[in-house]
Order: sequence, then structure tokens, then C-alpha cells
Amino acid sequence: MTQSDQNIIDLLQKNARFSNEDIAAQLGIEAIEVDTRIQSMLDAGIIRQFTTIINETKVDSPTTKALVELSIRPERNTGYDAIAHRICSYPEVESHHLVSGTYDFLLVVCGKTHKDIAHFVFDKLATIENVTSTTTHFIFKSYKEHGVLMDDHNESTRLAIMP
Amino acid sequence: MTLLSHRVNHIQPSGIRVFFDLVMSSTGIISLGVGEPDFSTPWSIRSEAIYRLDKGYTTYTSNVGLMELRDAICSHLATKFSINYTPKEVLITNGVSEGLDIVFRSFINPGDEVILPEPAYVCYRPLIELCDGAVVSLDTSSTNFIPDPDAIEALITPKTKAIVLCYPNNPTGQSIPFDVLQRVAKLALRHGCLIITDEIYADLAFGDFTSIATIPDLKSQLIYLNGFSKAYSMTGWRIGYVCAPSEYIESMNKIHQYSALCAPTISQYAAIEACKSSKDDIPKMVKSYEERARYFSTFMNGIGLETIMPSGGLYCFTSINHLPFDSLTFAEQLLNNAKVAVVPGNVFGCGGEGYFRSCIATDFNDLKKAALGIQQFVDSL
Ligand SMILES: Cc1ncc(COP(=O)(O)O)c(C=O)c1O
Repeated sequence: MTQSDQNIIDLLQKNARFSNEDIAAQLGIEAIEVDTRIQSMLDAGIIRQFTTIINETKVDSPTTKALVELSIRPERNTGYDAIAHRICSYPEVESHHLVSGTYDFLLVVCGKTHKDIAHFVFDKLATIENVTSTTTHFIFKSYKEHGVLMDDHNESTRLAIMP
Repeated sequence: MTLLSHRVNHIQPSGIRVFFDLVMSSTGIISLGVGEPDFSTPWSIRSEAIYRLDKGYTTYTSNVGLMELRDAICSHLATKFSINYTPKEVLITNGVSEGLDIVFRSFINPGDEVILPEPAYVCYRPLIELCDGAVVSLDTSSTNFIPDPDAIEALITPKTKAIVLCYPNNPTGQSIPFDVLQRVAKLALRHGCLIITDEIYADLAFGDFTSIATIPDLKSQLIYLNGFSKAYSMTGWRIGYVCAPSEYIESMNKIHQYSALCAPTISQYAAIEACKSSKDDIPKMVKSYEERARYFSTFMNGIGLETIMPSGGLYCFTSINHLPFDSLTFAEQLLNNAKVAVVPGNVFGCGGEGYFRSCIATDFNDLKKAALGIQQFVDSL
């Protein structure tokens, strides 16, 4: 990866809707080059997806989310990875990390209702042979996600004109 | 009969007061007329101020400012710019604004001349004139806004007291290459005049920046000003500083102690935190200013409005010399027709006519909308 790739990523992470031309003008390179580099970072799996950060409290049917901690008995040959693959293949699992501390996996699980999530944890996760315990924390409110504050009280107080 | 002093009556009321009032009262416009960052003060700094308030650090400090802050400033200047001062050579002021005021009041006798390369920030001229000093302007617009040392030297007379430098410059965004600064330093030494350097945008330089204050021989004739307003997004905190030989600091402090007493105490504690902990915040902000400046200058050049890519700071300075307007009329028409506010170049003195200043510390989408608005307006002419 080049510095230019990193600069493109930094801009896209701030705003995935920047056009190639906007990025090019900000970085002082050609738009065609931006296009090529984004394409090759997609091909290389460096960029996985362009997505959108939503303030769930403002949408009509908000998604319910929970943090789920799982303790795991790792498998003899494949360790955590094979079991992780079985878990994170469920679409309900929004994110999935192997972590240090008193449990092993930390998941963010999504559903329409608390009930959906409860069922998913009991029926799908707790029943997996290598899962030795689960703890579920329902998320009441998210203040910040992916570096973005959810409350927008950033009304500008700057003077409109100042030499 | 007026009760006002001749001094204050002598200050020219800004010719564009009416335009400024119009912008301030307009709604639904995009303003590139702003003069400050669009980031808020980094949280660690705000949090330190809240803590100090909570603990009741609400008294005066010593006139010159907290020792710990002067110490932190010296370390910052040494590490970042290789500029060497000791705490005794630092005076904490209510922004660079107060610093400039007491510098001029401490050095200018009636009739003294001060050489000012223009276009330049608006406060130097009136503050010099308040001391009955004479501003000798050098128009830098024909040399890409970088003053030519020979042209400076040609303006020097036995009455020349000082040369004011402000680089990276407001409004042009340009900096003086170091070899040119060395020549300016030499001529100041040769003629025994002071260099007053306002480097409030130095932390926001896009590439390497070398200050004239790194030239050791010049130290006894150099007054260095910097502050927290722009670099740390602390415009409303009113905190800056002057560095100079300690006997000069003592003299300047004679004015500061009576007219200001001290800089705001909470802001001084916040500034210590800024020096200590915000090292990582600045490069991110600078990168973002640089990207937006590059975008805007590229766009302007693309539509035929020449704009030199700034080397730092918050502004782009764009030429409208080929258009059939003066800069104030352009700004008024742009406001009326495109709902975009910019600062007409004429406010920045000689060489500013024929340009407008845009603050690129503006949300990218707004900056783009404003750029498109300018394009549409110019195309319609
Ligand atoms: C060149 C220059 N010097 C000084 C100031 C004033 O700064 P402060 O907020 O430190 O008084 C400004 C503000 O716009 C400026 O552009």
C-alpha cells in the first residue's frame, strides 16, 4: 500500500460518497488514478465495503442490538477460527471479535426485537457445542459509532465574516 | 465638537462595514468569509478547562502568565520549530491581537516607520497608526505575495523602526522561503531595525516550515508572536504569546500589566494541556485543511480564477483581476446572486484589490457548493 492509498482511505472513511474527482482534487492526483487505486484496494480486500452510519433513534423501525459475550472451548486443530466462522456466518451477527479477558468472543448481534435476539442467542449460539457460556447486553442507546457522534448539537457559532 | 480622541477618530472606519453587516444578517448563505477553524477545540483541552473551573482555578495569574505554560511553550517551539526561548523571554497575552498591540506600543515612537508587506491581516495598520507610527506598505501581489528583500530594503529610511512579517500569510496563504528570510534578516541587521513576525499559522503549515526566529544572530532584534487560536481551534479562548529578549518582555509587560493584567487563567491551563497532549490532533487537522485548500484552489484555477495553492493556514486568495468588478462589488454580487460570502481583497491593503479570500475551513460539501456557486456566477457574466 502506498501513502496515496492511505490518503484515499482516510478520505473515504470520512465520507464514502466523495466522488473520484473530489478525492483527486483534494489529493492532487488524477481522478482516473483514484479509480484505479480504489479498484485495486477492493480487489485486494483492503476495502471491504462502502457503508452508511445510521442514527438508529431517528429511523422509523430501529434495529435492536446487543453485545453478546461468548466463552469458547477452542477446537484441537483449528483453534478459534473454525468455530468463529460458524458463528459469524449468521447474518444476525453484525460484528465479531476474538478478545482478551474473561471471555473469548465479543459479538454485536442485530434483530428487529429483543425477542429475536434472545431466540438467536438461545437457539443458535448457546447450542453450539464449543460455546460454554453466553452473556447478553442489550444496547439501550449508542452515543458514538465508528468515530461518529450520534447527537448532532454541532451548530456553528462561527462569525460569518471576519477578516 | 467631539469628545473622542484624535487618535481614535484617525482610525479609518472599515469601508466594507455595510457589506459585513449584510453578510452577518443574511440567512441561507454559505459563508467562506469565516476567519477561524471549523474543528472545535480538541476535547482533552476542553476537559482540562472544565476540571480547572471545577477545582476553582479562577484567580489572576502572574502578569507574564503561568510559569508552567511558558515552559510548555518553550518546549513546543524548540521541538517543533527549533526556535529557542526561555520562559523569561515569553509573555502570555490575550491572543496574538493583544500581543501585537503591546509590541507596537512598546516600540513605536510618533513618526517611526513600519514596513508592512501587504496584502496582510487587518490589525497591523490601525494598531501602528494608533501609536502615531507610519505604515510603509510593500505591495507583494506582483511577486506571488512573497516580499522581495531588495524591495523591502528600498523602503528603508532612517525612520524605519520595524518590518512586520506574517507567514504563512492571512489572506494569501503564502510563506517566505528560508533563503529569502535569511536575506530579510541580514538587511534588518544591517539597518538596525526590528523584525516583528506573527506566526499564528505556523502550526498549520502544510509542509516544512522554517521560521525566521531560527536565525540566531537576529534574536536581539526579533519579536516573535504565536498563539493557540488557529492551531488548536481556540479562537474564543483569547490566548497567545510574545517571545522576545527578556528586557523587551519586561518593558512590554509594563503595558500588559495595566491594560490586561493577565491572560484568562482557565485558558492558560487549557493551553498547557494543548502543548502537552494535542500533538496528534494538529497533523490531522492540517491534513484536512491542506486537502480542502488543494480542492478549492484546483477548482478555482479550473474555472479560470487564478489561485496559488497556499502553503499553510485557512485561506485561499483568488484573483478576479480579469473580471469587470472591484473586489467589493464582486463580493456583493456574489452574495446576492450565488448566496456565497467571501472577503473582498481590498480590506487587506495594497495589492489586495482584484482578489477575494475564501476560508477553506468549511465543511467539504459546503465548500463544493460554494465553489459551484462561484463558477455559476462567473459563467453568467
Ligand atoms: C495573522 C493573524 N494574526 C493574529 C490574529 C488574531 O489572533 P488571536 O485570536 O490570537 O488574537 C489573526 C486572526 O485572524 C490573524 O489572522
